[in-house]
Amino acid sequence: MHRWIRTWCLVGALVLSAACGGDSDDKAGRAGGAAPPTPVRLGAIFNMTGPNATLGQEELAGVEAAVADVNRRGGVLGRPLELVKADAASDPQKAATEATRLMDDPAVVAIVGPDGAQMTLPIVPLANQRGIPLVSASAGFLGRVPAEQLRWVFTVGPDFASKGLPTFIRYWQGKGFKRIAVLSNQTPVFDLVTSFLAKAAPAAGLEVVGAESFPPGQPDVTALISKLIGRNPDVLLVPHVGADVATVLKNYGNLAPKGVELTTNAATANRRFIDLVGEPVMEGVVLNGWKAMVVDDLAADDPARPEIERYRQGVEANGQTFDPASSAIVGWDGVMVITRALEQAKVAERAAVRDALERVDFQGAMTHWRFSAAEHDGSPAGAVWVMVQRVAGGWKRVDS
Amino acid sequence: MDTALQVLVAGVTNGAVYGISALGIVVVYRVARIVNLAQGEAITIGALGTWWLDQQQGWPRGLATIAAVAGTGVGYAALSWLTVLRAGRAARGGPAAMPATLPASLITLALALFVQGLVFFAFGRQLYGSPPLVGWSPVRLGDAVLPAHTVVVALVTAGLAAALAATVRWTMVGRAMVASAENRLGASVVGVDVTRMIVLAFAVAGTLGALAGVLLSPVTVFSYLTGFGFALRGLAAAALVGFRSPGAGLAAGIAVGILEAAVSTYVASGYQEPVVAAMLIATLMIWPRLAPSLDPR
Repeated sequence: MHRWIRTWCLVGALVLSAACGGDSDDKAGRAGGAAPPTPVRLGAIFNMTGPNATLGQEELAGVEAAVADVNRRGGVLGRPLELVKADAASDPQKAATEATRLMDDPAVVAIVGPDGAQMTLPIVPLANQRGIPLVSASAGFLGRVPAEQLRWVFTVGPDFASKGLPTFIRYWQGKGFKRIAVLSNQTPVFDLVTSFLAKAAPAAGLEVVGAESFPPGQPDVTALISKLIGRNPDVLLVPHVGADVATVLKNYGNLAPKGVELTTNAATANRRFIDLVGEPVMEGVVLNGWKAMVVDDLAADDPARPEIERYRQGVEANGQTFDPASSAIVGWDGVMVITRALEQAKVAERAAVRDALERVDFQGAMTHWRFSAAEHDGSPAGAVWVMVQRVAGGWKRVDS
Repeated sequence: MDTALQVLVAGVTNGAVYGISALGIVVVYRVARIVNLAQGEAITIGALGTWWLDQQQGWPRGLATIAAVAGTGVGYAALSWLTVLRAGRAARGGPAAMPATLPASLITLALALFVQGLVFFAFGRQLYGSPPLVGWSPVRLGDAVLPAHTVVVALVTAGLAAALAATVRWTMVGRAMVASAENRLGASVVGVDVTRMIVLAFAVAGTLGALAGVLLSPVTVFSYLTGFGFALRGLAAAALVGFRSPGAGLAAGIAVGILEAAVSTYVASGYQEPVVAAMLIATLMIWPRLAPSLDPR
C-alpha cells in the first residue's frame, strides 16, 4: 500500500517537474534568440471554444492569416510579428483571466479581440489599468462603457444593431418596403434590434408590424412565423445567430410565404452555416454581407478591391480555404489596423501604439478605417456592410 | 384559422418529442421507481449517431437510423445494468432488493452528465443538422401549411403508441413488465425476473429517446446539449400524469407542446416558458392526485 503511494507521488513529481521544465526551456529559448530581430508580440484573444466558438475560430483564422501576410512582406518595423493566442472560451470570467495572462507578458504590445460585448466588457478596465491597447472585435460594449474607460480600447467590431441596421433601413427605403416583422430567439440581440427599430423606424417611414421571440432551442417556430406573416410584412427580419436561426429558416422553408423578404444576420452567410441548413433553405435570403462577398458587383474603382484581393491571397497563402462570408475578415483587419499603428508609432511600445491607433486612417478589406482621439470605433455606421442576396448558390449585391 | 392550425402543427411537432420522452420516463418509473434524468441524452445520441453513421460513414440513412436507435437502446440497457441497478442494493440486501429510488435517480443524472461529456468529446460544440426525412414539398390545407415532416412525426408517434399498447396487452414480456410495475414483490414471486425488466425498461427508454432525436434532427440542429432541454419538458409531462401511465405521458407531452405553441402565439411569445411552467404547477395544485406517487413498493 505504502509503496503504491510512494510510486504515485514519484510519478506525480516527475510529471510536474517535466511540465515546469518545459516551460523554463521555452523561456530560455525566447531570451536566447538574439541573432534574428526580436519579434513584435501581438496578443490575440478569441472564443476558440464555447457557444461562440464558430465565430471566434473564424476571426482567429483571419488574425493568423494577417500575421503570416505581414511577415511575408517583411514584418513591421523590420521585425516579424509573433502571435500569442488566448481562449476567451465564450465566458467573461475566462476572457478576463486569459487577457490578464496576455497583459502580464511585457513583450505583448497590443491585443486584438475578443468578439462579444460580454467577453470584452471585463477586459476593458484591465486594459486601462495595465495600459495596453485593446482592439476589440466587438462593438456592442461601446454604449455600456463610460468614455474615459475607452482610453486604451478601440474596436474594429461590426456591431449588428448600430452598424448593420442602418444598412438595412437604407436598403428597405430604397426598395419601398414599409412593414417590418422581427422574429428572434430570446437573447439580447432581440432587445437591441427591437429597441433600435422602435427609435429609428418611424423616422425612416417604416413600421414594425410585429416582433416575436422564442426560447432558445425550440425546434418548431412555425406558429410564430405564421402569426407574423399574417400581419402582411414586406420583410421578416431574423437578427439572432446560431442554431435557432437554422430552425427559423427550416420552418420558413416549409411555409414558403409569398411577397415577404427573409432577412438574416451576416453571421448566417458562412459556408458552415449554409452546409448546415442546406442550399435550398438559404436561396433568396437577404442579409448584410461584406464587400468581399460581392467583389464583382463593386465599382471597378472601389478602393476596397485591392485590399480584398490582398486578404483573399493572404488567406489562401496561409493554407486556408477562402470564404468571403467568413468573419475572418474582422480578425484580418484588426491585425492590419494594429500593424498600421505600429508603423506610425515607429516603436513597439504600448503607449506609442495607443497614440498611433488614434491616427490610423486607411482602407482595409472590410471598410475604410478612421480612428481619432474622439472616435475609437473605426468604422462609421452603415459603412461596413452591403446588402446581399443568396441567388443560385452565390451572393448578389442588392442595394448599390 | 390559418394560425390556429399552424399552432396545432407546431405543437404536435414539438410535443411529440416531449411525449416520447415522457413515455420513456414513465416506463422506467413504473418498472423501476426511478426518475430517469438521462432520458435527454438518448435524444442527442439518436440524432448525432444517425448523422455520424449517415453523413460521415456513408451508411444508408435507414440503416444508420436503425443502428443508432438500436445502439442507444442497448447502450442504455448496459449502463443501467452497470450502474443504476447497483444503487442501494448493498444497503438493502436480499435477492429481491431493488435500487433505492433517490440514489438511483441521482445516478441517472450523473449518467446524463457523463454521456454529455462523451458526446462533447466525440462531437465538440459544433451544431449538426440532418437533411429532411421526406421531400421538401409541404402539404397545403387551404391557407395553412402542413409540413411533410409533421405528418411523419405524427405517424411515428401514433405507431409507437399502438406498438406499446400491443406489447403490453399481447406479449409475455409486456405483461411481465406490467406485473413488475404493479407489484415488484408479487411479480418476482410468480417468477418474473424484475431486474431484467428494469434493464429492459431502460432499453425501451433509450430506444424511444433516440427515435425522438431522429425525428427531431431534420427540423432543428443539434449540439451535445440539445437533448437535455427536451427531456426536461418530457419530465414535466410525465409529472403531469403522476408517472402513472405511459400512454397518458405521451398525450401529456403533446398537450404541453400545443400549450407552448398556443401561449407563444396568442399570449406572449417571450413568456412562453414561465407561463407553461405556471400552468403545470396550477394543474398539479388543482388536481393533487395527479402528483407523482412516490410509493416505493
